[in-house]
Amino acid sequence: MRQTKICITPFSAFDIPALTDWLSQMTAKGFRFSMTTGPFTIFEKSTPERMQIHLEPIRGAVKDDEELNALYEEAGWIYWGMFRNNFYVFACPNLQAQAHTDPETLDYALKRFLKQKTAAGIVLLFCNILLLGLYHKGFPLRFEGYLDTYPPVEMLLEHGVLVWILSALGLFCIDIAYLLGLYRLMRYRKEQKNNHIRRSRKGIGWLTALGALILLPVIINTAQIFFGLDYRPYDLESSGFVTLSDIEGEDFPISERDFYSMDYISHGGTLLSAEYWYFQQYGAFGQNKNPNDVPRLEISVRRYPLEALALLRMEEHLHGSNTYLPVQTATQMEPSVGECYYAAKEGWVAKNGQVHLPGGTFLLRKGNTVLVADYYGEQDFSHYAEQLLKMMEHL
Amino acid sequence: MGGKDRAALTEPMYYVLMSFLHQEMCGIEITEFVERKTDGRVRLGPGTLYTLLGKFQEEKLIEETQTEGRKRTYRLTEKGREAFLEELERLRACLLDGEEEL
Repeated sequence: MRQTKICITPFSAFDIPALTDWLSQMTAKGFRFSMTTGPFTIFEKSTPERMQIHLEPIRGAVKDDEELNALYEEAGWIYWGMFRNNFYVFACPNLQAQAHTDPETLDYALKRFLKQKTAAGIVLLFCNILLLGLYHKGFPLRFEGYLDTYPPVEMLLEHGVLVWILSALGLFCIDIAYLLGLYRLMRYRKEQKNNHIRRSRKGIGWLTALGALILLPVIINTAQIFFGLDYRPYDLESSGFVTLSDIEGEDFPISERDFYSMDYISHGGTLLSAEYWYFQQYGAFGQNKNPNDVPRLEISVRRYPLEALALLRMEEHLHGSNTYLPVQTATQMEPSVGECYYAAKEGWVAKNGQVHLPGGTFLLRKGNTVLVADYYGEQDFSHYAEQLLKMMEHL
Repeated sequence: MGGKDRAALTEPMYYVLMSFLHQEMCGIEITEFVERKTDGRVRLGPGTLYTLLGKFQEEKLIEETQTEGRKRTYRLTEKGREAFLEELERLRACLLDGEEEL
């Protein structure tokens, strides 16, 4: 038989009468309050008994108060622990026992607690600003009218819109729950004065839990960024990536400028962004020359958290500006496993005389990973499908 | 009356302040004092006493003198004594008013 029971706290963490009733009912069912963690309340299996529960607002530092415990114990109460950082929980078998015998003093305690929680609300507001500020680049309205340039999957995962939406949604739930909790506390204070306590409805606690659940991936994502886990580059050598030298030949001069000739694979990603690999190489071009006049290779790979997103991203590519044709690979792939497309590009000369090199673009999907490899140059890039597939397998 | 007007004290507040007049006290001793003094008429719940001790400390009416294990001892400050005497004056005036009208 399980010795503990974990429940989502159904009421606001400031709703004293509702929480008191709930903890009391759980005790009568044989579940004694033990502790809270996030939106959950943990109970220990015990003998069902009728107990009066009292929640004493925590004053100042959040720690066990020995003097308070001694006072309560002397009056026949038992200390059970802390409910979040809000209350000390006391229980008493005497259902007539009174923790507060002076309504005016109780009103003072509630007023003080309300002030404390209002100040904590300002801290919460600051956290809102901080989190949304951190992910401000994903603010969806920034992309208004740019949907042609940034299709949904790219917008959501690669431009941080998803993490912004989750942050905003999670914070909204938590903020609303907090405000409703403060309102409930204010109402309780008033009801206490009038000696007429109304019952609360469940729900605010679930809203907090929903907010916490939505914010959980955002918190993990933020931690990954703060601990530098979002960028993990590695050496080109032994990476298995196709290089410009593979296509143009070993003697082909590669640009010596760092930006145009990467000797590493840019690699990273967080929980809420697609894992990515990026690599580019340009041929050597002279001073004041356009880098686009020389052969170049650019490989970009994204691994999406769901295969459905990879499929959607493929659709977006296929409906883009390139005319892709399916390619039969020797390592035949089932359509459910992967797809391979190639779009050949013809070279052309602009009116100003600038030469645009011919080339081609491979579009490959294997499971939830999508690769786009762009090549500009005189060599035939179309037979690199197998190599690119092999490369993807090593990722 | 010095400073800003103080609101009338409730009975528990009055008796808690009174308990410190002659000696330093800890929480449990205060409860016993009030119960003895009022023959059980005024009861101090643990929540009430805890809140009052915090409130009086914040208002500098009492101050902590020592902590010994789970026991914290307090004493009345000059401001606390004044507050008690003001309340006593108020209560005396109330009593006189009532007697005059009888």
